[in-house]
Amino acid sequence: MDSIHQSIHSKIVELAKALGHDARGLKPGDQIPASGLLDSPALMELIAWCEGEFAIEIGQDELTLDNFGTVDAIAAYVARVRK
Amino acid sequence: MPVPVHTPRINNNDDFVRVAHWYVAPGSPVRRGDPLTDLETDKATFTVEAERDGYLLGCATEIGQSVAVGSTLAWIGDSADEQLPAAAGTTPGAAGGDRAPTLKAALLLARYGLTAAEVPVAGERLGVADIERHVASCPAAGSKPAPSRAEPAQAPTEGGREVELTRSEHGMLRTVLWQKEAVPAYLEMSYDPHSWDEYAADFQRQHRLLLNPLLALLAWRLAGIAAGQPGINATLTGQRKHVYDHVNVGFTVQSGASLYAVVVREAERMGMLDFVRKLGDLQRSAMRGALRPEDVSGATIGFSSMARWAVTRHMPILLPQTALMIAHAAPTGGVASLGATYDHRLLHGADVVGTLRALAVPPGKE
Repeated sequence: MDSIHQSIHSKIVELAKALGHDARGLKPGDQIPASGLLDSPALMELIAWCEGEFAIEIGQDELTLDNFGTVDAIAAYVARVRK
Repeated sequence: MPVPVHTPRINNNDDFVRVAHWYVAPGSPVRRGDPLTDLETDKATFTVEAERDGYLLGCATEIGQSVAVGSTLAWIGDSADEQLPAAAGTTPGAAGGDRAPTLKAALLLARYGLTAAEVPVAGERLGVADIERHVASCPAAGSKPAPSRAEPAQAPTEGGREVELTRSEHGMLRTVLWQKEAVPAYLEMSYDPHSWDEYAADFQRQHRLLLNPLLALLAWRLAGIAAGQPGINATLTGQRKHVYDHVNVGFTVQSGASLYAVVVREAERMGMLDFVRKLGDLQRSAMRGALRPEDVSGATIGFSSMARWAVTRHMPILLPQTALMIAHAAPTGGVASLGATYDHRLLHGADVVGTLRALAVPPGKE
């Protein structure tokens, strides 16, 4: 995993822990919403964190499973938007 | 040169607003964006922020005093001892000569069930002494006020230090203090959450949403119910019921250690998807710490959920100047409960049961 992957994964682990879940085993291609590790507010918090961490703005239309469904998808989205 | 801080207009119909709180003492340094003062009307509260760095000067307005919209509330200067312009004076545009009661007097009026027009005013403003004099001379005027439930602040006996409340803590304090004015009651009923779960899942698939829209859809449904049942979208002012023109849904959001009630305004006019998106924007603003004062003020009805923490029952407090707060909780054994805290001065149990029954069923499934 590169640094973007790692920081996203670490944030998910932190958010999941607050909800009483252990997300350390989450794989880059695993579906985050379907995993049950994060609920909607926690996903929202992850998205808000991404905006600050990677200095990007995320429009409502971009909040899709394709962009934020997995760690891989989020990392790819961040890389794409930052270009 | 000092720059004036003007009194903003909060509602179209209010030419005067009350000063509810000063965050900064005269002569203290302020940074751009710092909260200076909370202004309130019967409908809304608004926090005035510093528009520049400097020192707060000339804020002579007392808590509870009415000030005219557009008048100078205070000044921000370059130093703590800077002179104010001679023509400006240091007293903001107080509503001198009108009958606007002080905040304490307004509370006492409500407790006696009186209106300001009924009480002779000795000075420029209607004060507590005017009301007490009036009640003493006319025993039929108002009922005996109920003893206040507020305990006098006890000085701590153990050593410690005084710490200013944060903005979020001020908001919570204001909300909690409102419970002393309202007469909160609570009831709940069980319902089958599956039809709502399915409805939300369908909606999520249809609009390819990343986030489960269940709570947003419930809050949107509440707005629609309130539009058709305006008695639940109201508050009490003295002996009158103030029925709000629009449904502004206050929705609780936990962000880190802070709890906010973000407000979706005029929700009854919004379609489901627009409401879901607007609420999502506000939630993200809360999590970024980027909420504006208008994002957290003016709620006319409330919605709170603790389902994410697997809480199966909670009794939320009412948002200021509201009469109903929905309590959504986690299901257990395939059954969930919907609860509501309500102001029993305005609503009775049957009103609230009707609301909860309607809310328990998604649109089109009635």
